[in-house]
Amino acid sequence: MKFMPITLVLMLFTTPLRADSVALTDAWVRATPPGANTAAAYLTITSDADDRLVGAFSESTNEIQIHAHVQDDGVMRMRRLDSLSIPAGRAVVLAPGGKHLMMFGIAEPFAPGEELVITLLFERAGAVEQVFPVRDGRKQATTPS
Amino acid sequence: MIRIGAFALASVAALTAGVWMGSRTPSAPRLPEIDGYVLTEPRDIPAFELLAGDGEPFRNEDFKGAWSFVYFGYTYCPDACPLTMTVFAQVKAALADMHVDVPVTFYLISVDPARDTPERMAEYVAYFDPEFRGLVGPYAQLEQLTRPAGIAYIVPDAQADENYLVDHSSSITLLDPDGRIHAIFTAPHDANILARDFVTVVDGYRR
Repeated sequence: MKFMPITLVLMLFTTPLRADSVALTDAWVRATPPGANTAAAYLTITSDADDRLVGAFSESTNEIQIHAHVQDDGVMRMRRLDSLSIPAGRAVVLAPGGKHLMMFGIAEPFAPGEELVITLLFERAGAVEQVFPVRDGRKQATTPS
Repeated sequence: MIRIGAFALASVAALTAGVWMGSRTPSAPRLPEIDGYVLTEPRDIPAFELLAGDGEPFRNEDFKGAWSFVYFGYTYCPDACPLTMTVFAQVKAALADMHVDVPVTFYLISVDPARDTPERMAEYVAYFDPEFRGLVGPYAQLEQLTRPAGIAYIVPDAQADENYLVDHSSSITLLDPDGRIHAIFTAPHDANILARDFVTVVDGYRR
């Protein structure tokens, strides 16, 4: 609690208007099969103002890229996005089979019950830290269309 | 160099369109309706040899005697492949619930032999179900399967970036107990629909 004033001061610089804040919900990371080198993280982003997710980083992985799936004549193509538009007031969903954060070079497998901290970098809202619980993804029912 | 498996994308579309049109011509026998395509004539797979998880060769005859659900993917794939393996596990459970008594095996075949090894494939598929099988082999062998199945995959130059991605078809290929390509299930894949469609295909095969 004693860091609160500092945080508030920082917020004055990074978020000059209250309207620039982003809300992050449903954050989770897919538990990885043994020996996995990659992992996927998901969340829903909502912003009061038009914003843009421009990057993500974490101590748990070498590199995080923003990815989207594109179906091209039945071929599943994963595409790296330089940034992801977050229109004001509209929830942008990163979920299995769709957009996701792809983590490369994970050191250890992610096991259910663990937590990762990922810092998301927004054009307007600045850097936002988010805790991502690791969940067993083997319950998901449908693949992307 | 970009390696393009089986066909350029346009020809895959043409192939699947051909299968579809073939199944709808008036003179063709009536085929089961599924979320995908039942081939008018099951298609043989040319002789191939891949490696199974134990490092033993896996050839055409090893597909015989059971129905095979085959997905072409790779272990570095963080989203679509785990999802499809999960769907496979659910199809297996759904078929057990439905008391479907025909033998069925589930396979993940690697489209990324530069990084996937038999051990790695085995470890990966076992995470989803201990009975799932992983196969991997050189591109030339892989294409013996992808070409007749109409599966496309695109591997970028592996030297450029160790974190490369492989684009690949999202279809699931169904082989009959004669080891022939019998049907293709197109995405999106839902376990209950796949199980239902599978039973439909098996009924048609027995008739």
